[in-house]
Amino acid sequence: MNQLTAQQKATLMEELAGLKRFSMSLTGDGPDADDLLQLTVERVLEKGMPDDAHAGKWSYRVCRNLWLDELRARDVRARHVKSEMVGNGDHGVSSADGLARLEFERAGEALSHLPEEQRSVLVLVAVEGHSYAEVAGILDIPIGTVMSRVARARRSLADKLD
Amino acid sequence: MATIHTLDIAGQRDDELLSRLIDGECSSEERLELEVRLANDAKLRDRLEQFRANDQLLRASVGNDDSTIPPAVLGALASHSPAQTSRYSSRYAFALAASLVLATAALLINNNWLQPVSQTPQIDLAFAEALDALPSRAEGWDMIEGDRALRMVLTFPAADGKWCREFMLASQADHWRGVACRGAESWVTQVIGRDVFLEEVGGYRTASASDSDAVAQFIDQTATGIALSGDEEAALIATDWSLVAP
Repeated sequence: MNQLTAQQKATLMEELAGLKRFSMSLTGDGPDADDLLQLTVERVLEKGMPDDAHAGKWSYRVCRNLWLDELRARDVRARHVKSEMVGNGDHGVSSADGLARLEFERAGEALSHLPEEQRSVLVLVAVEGHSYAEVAGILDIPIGTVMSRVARARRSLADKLD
Repeated sequence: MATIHTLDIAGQRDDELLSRLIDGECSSEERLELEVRLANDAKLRDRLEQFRANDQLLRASVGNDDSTIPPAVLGALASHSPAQTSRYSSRYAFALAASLVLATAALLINNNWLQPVSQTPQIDLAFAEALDALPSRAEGWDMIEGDRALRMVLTFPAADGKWCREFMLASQADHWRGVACRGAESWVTQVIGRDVFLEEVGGYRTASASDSDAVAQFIDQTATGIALSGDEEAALIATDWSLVAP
């Protein structure tokens, strides 16, 4: 495996924000997401990638694989990750900003309750804007699988947020 | 009485179609068909809007999360030195001959290293055509007529306005390293010496500080600029070496 080229390094820098969001979607936890992101970048820098690899796509795959390894190591099943409501528990908000924040938290919690395989494809497609083919490449799964998982994820999300 | 679970197959199929429509993954025929259905089916339109709204909520939710990149991550990237992608990135590229030797061969240096030209391989038609057409490479060999393996190492402009190429040549009998320069009509060998290309690990010794790399010295003394990049060399070959040397 080759050390990163300058172009790959620049691409990786550009992808950091997306990788952070992806890490967050996988872990459901800020500090865990930071750790996962750091581990991902360190692993990519240490192991390198083929010269013709797209640094962003390669890194997403490394990130997900590291998270799956972490889950296996912790013996935690992702579909039971609970997102904790932050705040004083009083949901009687009156301001528009507060209502919006509440909606965001509901959406985040609903996302965290999706199975990991649905959560990761939905974030990559609906949030990060990758095509089905790109996601298939990142996660090393058939395009048909991406297609059905995205649809199932949207269906599940609709059921939870309805 | 047993509970009958009904599978909403049609609904699942529609959800998948709507999902693909949102993501721009429908064929044009599918999109047209779906648009006709959406124009006539309020329930389907509501479902589409629900999916779109949830996507927007999701993006806002994820975007609302702390997106600060940990300083340790930025530090790791900042301190990482990218691999050199250009084989011809600096003047030191002329010592590439020595580094290639370390990677592939033991360089036998002695006072009689430089052989009289008459005892060295001559540039025949196959060799000349190879000098004209083959790109330089850091590893691997091109086979030419006469069961000879040839590697173009680099191309550079000489002080007299000629284009020159360093090469490595291996036949069954001998291994050579040399430089040939292109005159008006032909390639002429400028310097050539015996070399040994050993591929097996541990089967070579590194050149010591006192050994002289005659080819590298020749290049250093006659070159007027740095070795050509891959693209520059390709352009020169494509124009049949008609570009003027700097």
